[in-house]
Amino acid sequence: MSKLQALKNFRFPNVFILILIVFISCALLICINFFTIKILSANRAYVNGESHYSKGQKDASRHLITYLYTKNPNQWKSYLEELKVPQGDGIARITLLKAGDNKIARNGFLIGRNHEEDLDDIIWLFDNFKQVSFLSKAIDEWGKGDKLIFKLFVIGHQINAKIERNLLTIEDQQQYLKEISAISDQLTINERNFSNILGEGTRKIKDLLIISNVFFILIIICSVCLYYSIMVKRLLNSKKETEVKNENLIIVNRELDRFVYSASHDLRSPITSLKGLIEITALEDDVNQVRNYLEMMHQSLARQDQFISDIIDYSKNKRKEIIMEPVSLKELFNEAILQLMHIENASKIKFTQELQIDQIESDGLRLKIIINNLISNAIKYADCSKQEMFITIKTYFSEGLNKIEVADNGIGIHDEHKDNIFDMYFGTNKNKGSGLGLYIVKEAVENIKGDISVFSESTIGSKFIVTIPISNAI
Amino acid sequence: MQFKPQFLIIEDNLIDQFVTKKLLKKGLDINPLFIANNGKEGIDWLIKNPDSKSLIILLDIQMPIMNGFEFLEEFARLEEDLKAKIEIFVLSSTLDIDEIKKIKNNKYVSDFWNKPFRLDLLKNISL
Repeated sequence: MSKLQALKNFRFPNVFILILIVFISCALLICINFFTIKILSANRAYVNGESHYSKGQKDASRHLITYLYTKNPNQWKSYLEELKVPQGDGIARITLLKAGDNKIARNGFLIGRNHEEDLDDIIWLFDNFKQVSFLSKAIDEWGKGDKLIFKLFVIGHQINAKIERNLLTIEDQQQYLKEISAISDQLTINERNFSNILGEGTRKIKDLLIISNVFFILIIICSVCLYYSIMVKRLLNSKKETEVKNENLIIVNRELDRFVYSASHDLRSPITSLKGLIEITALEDDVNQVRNYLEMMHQSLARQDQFISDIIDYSKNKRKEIIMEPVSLKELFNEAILQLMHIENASKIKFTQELQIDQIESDGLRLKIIINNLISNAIKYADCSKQEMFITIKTYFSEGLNKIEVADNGIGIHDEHKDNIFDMYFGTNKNKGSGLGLYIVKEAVENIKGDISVFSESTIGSKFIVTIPISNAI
Repeated sequence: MQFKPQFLIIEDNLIDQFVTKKLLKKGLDINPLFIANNGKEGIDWLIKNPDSKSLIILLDIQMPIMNGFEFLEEFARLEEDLKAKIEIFVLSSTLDIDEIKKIKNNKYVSDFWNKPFRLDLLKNISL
């Protein structure tokens, strides 16, 4: 059972969580893409920088060799000029490693013929990823290259010094040529390694980028689909609910129509009776008869009064909230009996009370409605043909519940009517009541989540038992 | 009215029964007068008294057990020569226009009267 519940809960997660997931996924996707593009752009800048570095170095080597053989000072100048490119990069590398972003490094990169707009990316990547394997390997190669550049620089100055002092021999020339070639070869290897390492890193990053993009987009699509399906389900559910509510409204409307129809009839009928009585009173000369008519008028008005108070009870019972409060059953019974003594024959009936329970926690209004109506019925439907008429009221505790019992030896209820006595406007004799009493009782009992049962036999008597749940059970 | 018909009052309200009875006795000196407390009692009376001469029924609509409309349905099933002698007037306190229309359209109902019963209503009838 609990597993099923958990499954249900799992199937319908809070939509806000889904929206949050979509939001976070989108944010992550944007961040990842942003940084990946930045990294790839920086890598491109490095490769570009490497190409300037290599060209600078190659041209410097070429100019140095030419200078070595021609001794043309212009070649010496060009050599110095070209060598500045890898040297600039070298300065940038060293200062970056030591101090992070700084002006000298930026200047070094500019000398290294890097584009000004690439500088931010280059420095950002260097600063943040110098520990990461691919970049640290590349920087390592770069460092090796810089050492060789320094060697080339030293050789250049040795050559220059010898040329200026005219000490350069042919052996020297050959010796230097060999050294320059060796350095150049080694540098080529370093430069190639540098490019390869960066290329490899770029490819890896590209793969990761694709995977993470696919991953997050899948998460977003799934979340959106789930969100959509939940919304559609909710919409369908609410549509169903609306339909049920509409149906209930139609039923309530029909009930209301019926109620208004019956109520208007029942409210009007005592008035027409009264009109008729006035008519016959006008024709009557006998004072005793007139008194008799007046008594009937009184009855008619009392009936209307009763009906109005039933309607008020009905509405109170429907609208008022249940309020649990201490209630004295004894007081309720005594009040009810006192109030109902005006009913015909009430004074001839013997009332017996056996109250094992008095103080209970329940809704006072509902209990009053229930008790008043049950006792009123017991009095109204007393059997005058019996020598002794009695009504017995009992309260007791049984099977964990409070019970109220109202029993009489009245006219009882026919078997054919037993199923209908709690229906609205059911009544076998409208001269006695409105037909609302037991309907209101049933509603009041349902309101306090109790139960009512009836035992009755025609001509023998009736017994109503009301079960009142103890307060904490409601 | 030369010739006095019998009257059957089908009415659950005791006071209205009493008023109608009193007026008929006092005003027209009508006797005998029969009373049924609801539609079922009315039908039972008709079945038990098939040989009655011409009869006027004063019929209420809202009654427990069998109401006026149900009575009219049951009445339609009675034998034709019994029905021929009977004239039905509906006496009700209803104000519902649809209901009044339904009553007036019933082929067994001669007229609809609003409660309370008045003697002058009968004077216009030729029996």
